[in-house]
Amino acid sequence: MSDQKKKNLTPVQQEYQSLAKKREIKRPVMKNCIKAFLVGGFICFIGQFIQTFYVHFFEFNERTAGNPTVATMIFIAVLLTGFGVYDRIGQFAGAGSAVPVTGFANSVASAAIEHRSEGYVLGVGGNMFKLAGSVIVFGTFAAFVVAIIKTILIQWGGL
Amino acid sequence: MNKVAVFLLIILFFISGCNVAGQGDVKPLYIGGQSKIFDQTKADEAKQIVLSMDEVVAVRGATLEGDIFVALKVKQFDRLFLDRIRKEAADKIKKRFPDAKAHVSTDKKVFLELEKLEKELYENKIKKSEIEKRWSRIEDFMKG
Repeated sequence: MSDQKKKNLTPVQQEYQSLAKKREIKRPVMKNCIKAFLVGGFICFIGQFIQTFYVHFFEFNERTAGNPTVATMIFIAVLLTGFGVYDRIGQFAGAGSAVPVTGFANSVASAAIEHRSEGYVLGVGGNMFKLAGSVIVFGTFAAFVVAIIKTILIQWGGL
Repeated sequence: MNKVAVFLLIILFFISGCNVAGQGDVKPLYIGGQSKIFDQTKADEAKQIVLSMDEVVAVRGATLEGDIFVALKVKQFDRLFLDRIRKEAADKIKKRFPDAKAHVSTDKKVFLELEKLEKELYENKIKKSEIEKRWSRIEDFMKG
């Protein structure tokens, strides 16, 4: 809680806050990090497996195999979201399942499923990117900033 | 106690996974004059030159007239510097064979295709027209 908010609280409320803080169960940060690392790594391992499969059995090289691999991963994630499996994985792994492309697919698919009852246009269409919208906006903005930095370094910095 | 053991096992698993010492050098297949269609001595020498680089763990290659195609497998950590390694390898081959056109790739598909081609050239199982077809295919994979 910020100090500004704390100032507005009455002494009794402040006392309660400190009491509650003492009794609050501490989050197992280290354990969560390990879980996220392992599950995120496992998702990437599956991605690598699919990419190797495309390279070995289809006419793709390492670079061009990236697109069908991502498509397959998205398809699997959407399927698992539909069956309610991905939510369980998300509960267990936290950021480990949210960061890869599968997490993005899950956020789009789950929002679409949730608003299905409100109709296709205003329900699914209007709310599909409610969660994923922020990723798109800030992802695009971050890419823009990085591109500017790269251009400045290459054009003026002579890298 | 059980949790500690699991944690230690996980750590051990990661340490052994990151170990690059296990990726020992793989000897390349030397074809030489074995192939009746195209003499592969140039490619063999190029393979030897490239394999002497510290970053390279395995190499495949073949030659067709003036072109030398070489595919490398580099150590896991050195995959961060693929551009530099490719350039270095191409420069080394060019230095040895100034007239030849050196194509160096680190792509897995090119590696697999060259491996197949090497084997067929070694066993003399391939026809000249087929080689040319394969050659353009590998060239396409290199362009990506």
